[in-house]
Amino acid sequence: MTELVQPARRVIDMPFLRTLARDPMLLFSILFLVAAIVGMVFAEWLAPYDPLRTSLRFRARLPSAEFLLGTDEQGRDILSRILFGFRLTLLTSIAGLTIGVVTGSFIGLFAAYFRKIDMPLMRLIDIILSFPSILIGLGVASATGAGTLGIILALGISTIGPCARVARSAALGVVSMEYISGAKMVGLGDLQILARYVLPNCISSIIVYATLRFGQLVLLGASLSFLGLGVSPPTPELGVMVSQGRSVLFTAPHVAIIPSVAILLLVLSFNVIGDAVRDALDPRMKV
Amino acid sequence: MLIRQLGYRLLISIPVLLCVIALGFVLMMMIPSDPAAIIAGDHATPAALEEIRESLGLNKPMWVQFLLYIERLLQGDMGKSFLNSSDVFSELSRSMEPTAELVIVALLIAIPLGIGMGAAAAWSRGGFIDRLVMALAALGMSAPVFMTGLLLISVVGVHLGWLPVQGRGGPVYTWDGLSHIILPAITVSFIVIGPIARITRTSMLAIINEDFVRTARAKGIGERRVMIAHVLRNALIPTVNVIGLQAGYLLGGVVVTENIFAWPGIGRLAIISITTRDVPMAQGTILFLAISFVMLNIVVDLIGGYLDPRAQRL
Repeated sequence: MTELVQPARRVIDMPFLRTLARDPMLLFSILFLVAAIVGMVFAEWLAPYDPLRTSLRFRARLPSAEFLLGTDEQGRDILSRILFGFRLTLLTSIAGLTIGVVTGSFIGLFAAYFRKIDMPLMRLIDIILSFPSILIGLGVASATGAGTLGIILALGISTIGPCARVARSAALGVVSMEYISGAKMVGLGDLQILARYVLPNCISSIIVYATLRFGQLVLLGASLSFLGLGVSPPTPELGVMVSQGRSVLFTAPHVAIIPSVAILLLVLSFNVIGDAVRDALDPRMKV
Repeated sequence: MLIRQLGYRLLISIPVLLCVIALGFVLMMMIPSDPAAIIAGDHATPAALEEIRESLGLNKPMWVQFLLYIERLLQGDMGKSFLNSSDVFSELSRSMEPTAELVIVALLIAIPLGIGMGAAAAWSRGGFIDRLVMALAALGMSAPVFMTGLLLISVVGVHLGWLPVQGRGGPVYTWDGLSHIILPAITVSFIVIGPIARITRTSMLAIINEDFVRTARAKGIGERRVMIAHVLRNALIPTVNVIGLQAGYLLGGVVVTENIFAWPGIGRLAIISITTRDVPMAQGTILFLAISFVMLNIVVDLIGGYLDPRAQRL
């Protein structure tokens, strides 16, 4: 099968390094994210202490040479807990994002390509969009009980709706192109056309959406765990750490504030990188 | 268009609410224990149990029970709490006022501040204020709600000792009530200030190039008046829509904030009932939040249509 008309490829025209040099925020965000991922993957080797070992002697210490970020209300090393916490927070968000983006993109692409099911699918999306994500989180948690699975489902479901809209509007521009009717004429099947022509031409919009969404999911997941709807306390998770730190907020505020700042930096990095990815891949969306 | 749009919103809110009701019903069915036994208490006779089952329709087929459940909901009967057997509906109406108060005060802080910041940024486009406002907005949009709340508690409440940090005081026009609401309201307002500032700036910059602005300048109207009467006024339309789009985040922030500040509203009730597996109360709060969200969206549509007559004609 020969390709009749080659769909246009977008090119990132600006050299990546020059962009970085001009934008210290972006550079910092990438460095922080790389550090967080390295810390998350190699937490066992990098963490200076056992994240679960409590110590009455070292309770709620301020940051020092011995404990770089201090210790929490039970004498556990906060830095070690944050490294392990990144793992749970990031994996939960990645799982939720994957579920939401894959399902949403499928719905969006199908709605744009098969015009007959466009209406019902999009009405379904309107219904999903009528549930704010916190409500999905509360509903799932009250149905399945507190736990990581509930949070992943909540993050995933809340991503389906907006992602389907993004994918659909990107695909609508593609399906009217000449190379699509060309592909139909040479006898390609619908699914083949979707996979080989429509998806590759929409993927940059979907990637832009996914990177921008990631920070929001980290925030939402952390809020749900903070509210006690995620993993139970001894497990190091950033939202849970903040929630636990509230018990000593008046005497040792750093126990709750330091993990919050870790979440802030994580989300900020994702937002800055998401903006940069959008500017690079999809200049039309620039606000 | 506005009427059609409203009609559509109302129409899709029916399946939305049915979904929530069905979820609540399934939750009820999933409880392993016998609701009749819970309601009757420990010392109930079998006859009394049977009577409660009869009155609740627990011995009827599933679909009849579902219809009965909807009927009870329509009558405002949402059952009784498992924890203290208080009536869910009256508990909800008691929590509604504090939540509404919190949201309104937060918006009263966020809207003028956000619009002002966005307008200032647009005015000094590319300058120091612009970059400062955009950086603050990015920071505000990335900060977890609980971080803002806990920082305010530990700095303003505890370290400086200026304001109380837990619970709700008297009416909001007294110092007691006002002092209690300031910190939680600032916390909630932080969620929407960033998005409001960003959209105000963007839409002002877009409108500055419109023909009618050039005409206004050509007429010799002062720059300040052009900016306020022509540019800012038209820039408010997308801002209203953004507040509607942010309503979901706002709701999430309210739930977290109420839990941090022990604010006796719906969000706190929801979390307490979910974490204690108080199913009737949990489904009541979730249903209530879903209804309020749907209604909020309708109100935002109405305001948007009022501000932008084009939306009605299209």
